[in-house]
Amino acid sequence: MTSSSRRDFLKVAGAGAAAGLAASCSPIGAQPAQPPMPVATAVPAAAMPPPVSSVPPVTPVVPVDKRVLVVVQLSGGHDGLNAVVPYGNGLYYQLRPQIGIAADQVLHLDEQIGLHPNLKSFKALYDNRQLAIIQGVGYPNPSRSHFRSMEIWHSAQPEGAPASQGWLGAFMAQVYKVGESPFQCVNFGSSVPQALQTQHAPVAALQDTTSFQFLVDRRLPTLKDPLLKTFGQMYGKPAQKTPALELVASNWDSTARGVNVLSGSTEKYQAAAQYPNNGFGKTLQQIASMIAADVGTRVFYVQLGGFDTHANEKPAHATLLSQLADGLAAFQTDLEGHGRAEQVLTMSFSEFGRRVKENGSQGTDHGAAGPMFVLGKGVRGGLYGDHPDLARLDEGDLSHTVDFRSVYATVIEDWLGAPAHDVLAGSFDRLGFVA
Amino acid sequence: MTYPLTEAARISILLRRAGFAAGAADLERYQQLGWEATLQELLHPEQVAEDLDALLGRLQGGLLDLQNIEDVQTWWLYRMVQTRRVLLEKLTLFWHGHFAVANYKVANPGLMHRHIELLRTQAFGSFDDLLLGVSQDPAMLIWLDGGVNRRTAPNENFGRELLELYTLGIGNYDEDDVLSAARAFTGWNLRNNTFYFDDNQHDAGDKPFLGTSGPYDGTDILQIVAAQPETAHRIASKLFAFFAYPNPEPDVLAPIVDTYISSTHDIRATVETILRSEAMYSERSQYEHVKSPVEYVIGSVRLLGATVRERDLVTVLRQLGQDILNPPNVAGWPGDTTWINPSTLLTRFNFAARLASSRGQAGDGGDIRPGDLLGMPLTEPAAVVDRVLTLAGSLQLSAEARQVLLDYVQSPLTYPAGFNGQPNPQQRQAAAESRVRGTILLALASSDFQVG
Repeated sequence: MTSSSRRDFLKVAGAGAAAGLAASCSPIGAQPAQPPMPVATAVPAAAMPPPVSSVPPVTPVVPVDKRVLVVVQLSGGHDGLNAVVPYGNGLYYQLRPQIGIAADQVLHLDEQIGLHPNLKSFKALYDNRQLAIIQGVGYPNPSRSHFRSMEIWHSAQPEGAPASQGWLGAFMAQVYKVGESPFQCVNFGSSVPQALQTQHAPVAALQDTTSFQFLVDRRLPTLKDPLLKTFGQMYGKPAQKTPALELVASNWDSTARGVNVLSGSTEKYQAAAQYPNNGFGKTLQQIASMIAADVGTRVFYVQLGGFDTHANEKPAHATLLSQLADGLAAFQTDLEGHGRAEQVLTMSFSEFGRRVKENGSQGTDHGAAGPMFVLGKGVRGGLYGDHPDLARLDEGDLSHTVDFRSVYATVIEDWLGAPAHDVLAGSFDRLGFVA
Repeated sequence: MTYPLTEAARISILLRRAGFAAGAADLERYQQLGWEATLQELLHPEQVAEDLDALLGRLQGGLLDLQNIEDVQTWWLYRMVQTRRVLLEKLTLFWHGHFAVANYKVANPGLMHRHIELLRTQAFGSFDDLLLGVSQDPAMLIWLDGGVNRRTAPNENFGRELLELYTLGIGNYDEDDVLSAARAFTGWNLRNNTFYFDDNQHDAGDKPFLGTSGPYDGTDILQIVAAQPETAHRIASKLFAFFAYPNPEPDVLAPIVDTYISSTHDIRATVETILRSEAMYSERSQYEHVKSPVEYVIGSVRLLGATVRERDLVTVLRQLGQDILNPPNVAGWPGDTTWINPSTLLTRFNFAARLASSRGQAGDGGDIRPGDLLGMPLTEPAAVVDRVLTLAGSLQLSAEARQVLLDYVQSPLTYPAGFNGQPNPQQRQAAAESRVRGTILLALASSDFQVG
């Protein structure tokens, strides 16, 4: 830690707890939108959208280093077949007599495909051309292990020995700015998923932005300064230079700088949307507050768990889909209210889909390919990829029609403006869902 | 650490790993016993007098409602703070991480309580018995849908995780083995929250499994997988990582695997081999073992001889990433360096701050000992720092960090904002005590204290 950043850390450490709480309790939706972010005058040619004849661009082009990616991991193996439903295919109902979604409840996207009724917020985004649905995403020789398949999605390496670096970690390693924001890559949760890991860029894990402070004994306010000053001089000098101790020391450094950044900025934020009252909604709101405060994050990572629906799937899955779609719809509205909607692209994935034929307990076992959702104002909405053929299953599972690395390549190249070849260890066709 | 280690240092390491660290009084007793007798005491909890069950039994139904998950969590944390059978409790925690049943799906705190009691009862026996007990445990049957695994449409959830996570490990079986295991467990069901075997739902047909075939039922499958060399390797390396450090060298692991096999899967013998292994006391073990949240929190409480509200610790552990009785998924906590990030470190700091400043007054959640340390004169800063570092488990700091701590102890005393004039002796004493408390906080928050 440099002496100047340590001074900053000491200046605000421990302050602002009350203000932070107040911000989270304030009435929702009362705040006028903040002014939109300034548009850079020079945009790298590579980041320009393809020329559109005579029609001016509707939205200003956001420079690539201001673009934010939010990744939503649907943990447990999401049953995409009951989310993006092939209601026009009789085989679907033959294989899922008990848990199939009735055709008259499906929100139709076309003659064959429709959305689960609880995805009505997604339907609205789809109709506004802000939601891309990529169908049949997977990889060859699919693993039905949660952990192996998750590892494949996280590392973008379906074959060979597991890589320690994640695909987003590899991207962050390319763009990380040493000494700048401690929040360039943020995971919400108590540990860091493999997707974000790299030797070359630290990842912040956050649980609650409003309580990110050093809380020293309140009855002895003057204890704070000498104590935190001492701590600032101590933590970077462990007894040994081993990997574990260096990891701890560097994370203390991110902590100290992070306290500075967050206590000074996100407390001014007020939500411009009504978020659903659940953990996922609250996390999305905190992400919005960090984007609104412009704390310099390129990648946010958040998880929604509970998709491992081996039994009694229908009610549990319906609840999860509401949480997903309503949470993300509120997030989009909030970003819009803060003039940030052009800046953010959100992508969901799951480690696998589920077995096409339902099991004996109104649930589904581990399967293979599934859909991905990509949303935002920078998205060219619509259906991408072919829905997998229910008549040609691979050991009872959907065969993929789109390689997940094509989705990653599109996001890295066309949204984040970085070369994807090194991140993915190969070249993959891009899909055109980034406007 | 200075090598070769003194016996006192070996005892201190043993108690941190095979227990929850030891406060001054306990440590003195163990030092008198010596390392060998301490090890024997840890390995033979049945010979250690314990009145916890009687005490907790009296609390149940009154202060502790076992139908409330927070009460069950509190019940377990109380045991971790208080028990004299420390290795037994630590090993129970290991098995909880291994089988990783979570109340967010089981949704029955009473069954979670029974599950932990089962793990403790079987913790030191044969792995086969433990595996059978867990496979028929109501919480597990709910957790992995055993209760709905039917002959006509097997549910693969339990069969798959049994092979992948509890025994063989991925790569040591194929999809046909998963299906056969699922079929073998059909009919393993629940009735009134108790295991029962439903013959009508059991598939009694032949099942190909790991290169053999037969009309296997669940018990057969468990016996087969417990005896596989891959299981021996997996259990040995997970236990070693829990007690010592991750990814041990093959020659360190080999005798532990051998013990598992030669003792016919005896957990006590396997753990004993680990605790006797030189690798557990090595520098690598000292500097590559990241303290888990439970080790950090319960260890700090025990080291300081603190009295705390165990209920408060439930929330702290959740924020630290180890929400006991709610592991994140079927694989349990990944542990090791994943415990460390800015959010969890900040929570560690704030927990240490609260612990070090508690004075037994209303609202601060407890008190710390020893009082004579808090009253030490600051005129001898080296004595204060040395006492604090000894208290923190003979914590070793770099020379620079130690000097920073000495400077802190010696720097002019500070008084609450708005304080004017000359402090009276009482005020000066309070400020000096705060300085010692601050030194304790700094030791517990140091980078060095997060490992080892």
